[in-house]
Amino acid sequence: MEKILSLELLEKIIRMELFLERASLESQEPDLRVINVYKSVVESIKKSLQYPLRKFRDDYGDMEEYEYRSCMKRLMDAFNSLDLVVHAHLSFIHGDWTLPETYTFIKGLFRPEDEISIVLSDTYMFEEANLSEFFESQLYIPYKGGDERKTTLFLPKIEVMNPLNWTILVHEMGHTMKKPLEDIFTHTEIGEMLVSDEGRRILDSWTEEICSDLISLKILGPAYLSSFITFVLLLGSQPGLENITTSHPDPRFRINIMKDVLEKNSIDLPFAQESLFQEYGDIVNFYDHIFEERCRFEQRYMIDEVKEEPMFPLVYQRFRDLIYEKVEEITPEEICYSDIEKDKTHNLVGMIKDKIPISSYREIDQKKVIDTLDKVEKDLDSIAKKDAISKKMKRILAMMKEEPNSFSEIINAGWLYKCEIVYPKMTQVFFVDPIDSPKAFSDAVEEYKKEIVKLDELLRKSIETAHIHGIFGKR
Amino acid sequence: MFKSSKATRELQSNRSFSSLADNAIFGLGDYLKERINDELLDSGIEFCKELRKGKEIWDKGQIKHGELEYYEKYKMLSSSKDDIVKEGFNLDEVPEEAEKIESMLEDIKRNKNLSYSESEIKQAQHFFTAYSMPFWRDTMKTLEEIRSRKGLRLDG
Repeated sequence: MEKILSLELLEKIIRMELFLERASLESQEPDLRVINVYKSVVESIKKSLQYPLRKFRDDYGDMEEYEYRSCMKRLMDAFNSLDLVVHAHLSFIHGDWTLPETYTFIKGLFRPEDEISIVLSDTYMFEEANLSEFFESQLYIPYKGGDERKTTLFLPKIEVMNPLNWTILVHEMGHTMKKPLEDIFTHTEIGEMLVSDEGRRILDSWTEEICSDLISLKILGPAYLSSFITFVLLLGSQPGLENITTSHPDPRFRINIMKDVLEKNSIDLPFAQESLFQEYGDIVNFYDHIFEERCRFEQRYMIDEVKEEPMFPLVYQRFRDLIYEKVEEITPEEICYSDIEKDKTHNLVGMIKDKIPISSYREIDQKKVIDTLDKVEKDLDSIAKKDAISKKMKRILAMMKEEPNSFSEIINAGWLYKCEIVYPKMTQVFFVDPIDSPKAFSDAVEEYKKEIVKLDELLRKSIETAHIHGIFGKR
Repeated sequence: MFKSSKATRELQSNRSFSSLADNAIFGLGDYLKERINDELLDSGIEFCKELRKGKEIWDKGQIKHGELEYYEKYKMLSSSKDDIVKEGFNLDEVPEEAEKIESMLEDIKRNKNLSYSESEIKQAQHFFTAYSMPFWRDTMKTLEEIRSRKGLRLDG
């Protein structure tokens, strides 16, 4: 767990560095001086990880409890510094703006009737809001934004280039298409228990979150759950991985219900036989295992007591039971499960390995094509068979035609690549290969940076070209 | 905007203090693997010095200019007295305990003395954990408040 957590944290630090590097390219003195202050802060955060990362190395040997606890604390301190101090103050820097590929991704998945906007946020969180309504409620002068909904999604600045986490924007889009939820609870025991507006509001918020999770899960499958778990892993004790708030059900329940839905619909993304994480079976079990380990660490060392408002336990238990019964009922009918073919996904991972954008895929039975070609060759001398040959040739061409990949296939392949290729490679670099100086640590971070940039670029290119391919292929 | 509030100042101060203890724990862990890192040992020495100074000011009952930070640290520890007892330490004895550990760290740093036993080192690590956890827990509580003020979290 600690190694994956370290790699996830390093990835966020690298993404911050990349954001600042791009900002530097667009800037001149004196703005560069400001950016350099940020760079130096990020460098310090990165350096503070050298000690704990060294302790997690395979050759360090056993680590006793006090040391382990301090290492984990350091990881959390580093993330909190990056999130609450650096990321929260990115508004002072003129940086990236939303990429066209992000719009392509969201519009391609939802084909919304109204325009949507995607804004980069200084806060490390994903949100959805009706911007007009927001201003209407905030301004000191009368303002009428009009009746039409102006959906705006908020993407943390450091995730701007990372398609693997655009999945959470899909959850945010889910908030705009929820079904009227009040009917679900009206005639149930829990609905009758909660007569106050506040109670109803809480129930609606919880259901809306689950509904948005399920919409994203249906569209993106295991990729969404992987993204969700890595997001909560880093946020950690805020206010606790297992706590319920008035706005959100606890992450464990959300993870469990999503796992249950995937299992019932036989959707999984198994690791290849040779994968380092083969023992976990598939990607969802792998991340769930890490989540549970992270929770155990919190329970053991970090949490004084679990705070629950008095009304929560009973109502929440009933809410959970009911949601399990009504999974299909609360998600809109038009959202269907994505078809994720395991073999195909593994082949797509192979394409990423070969640095080929996975915009399209040719599922070809080579033997069949060669056999057919052989037959055609034998018939070539016979003019009478010309028509037959032409038909056969068309069939061969059809066999070789590439089909555009869906965005869901692309993102799932991306997550699988991250688990099967990036994690093992970087585990080797940071925790096995010798790192005996600050320079060696910097070099290791640079190597990780190259991996991240390469995967981001390939996935973004895949999304864009799959979209173009889809238009021409009338898919 | 950039003038820190009392809460932010305390948060920063607690976090730094807790980090000193973590560094000391890393340094002592290294020692068990026969590696000596002066920078990490220095963090431990500073942690002990600050603890002792806090107790001294607390006992005097008078806070001079520049001493408030130390006083507040000890105040925080005295409000977590029970947690420290649970860990097997006595806050009243902190000057002696801290002095003993400080001398050990100085000795390791100056004389490269590798003769301390594993149990002595682990006891020192336990000391740093016990006296830094109240600061860590307080940091987490403050962060929770900051995040709840910012709006919805875990919105994934």
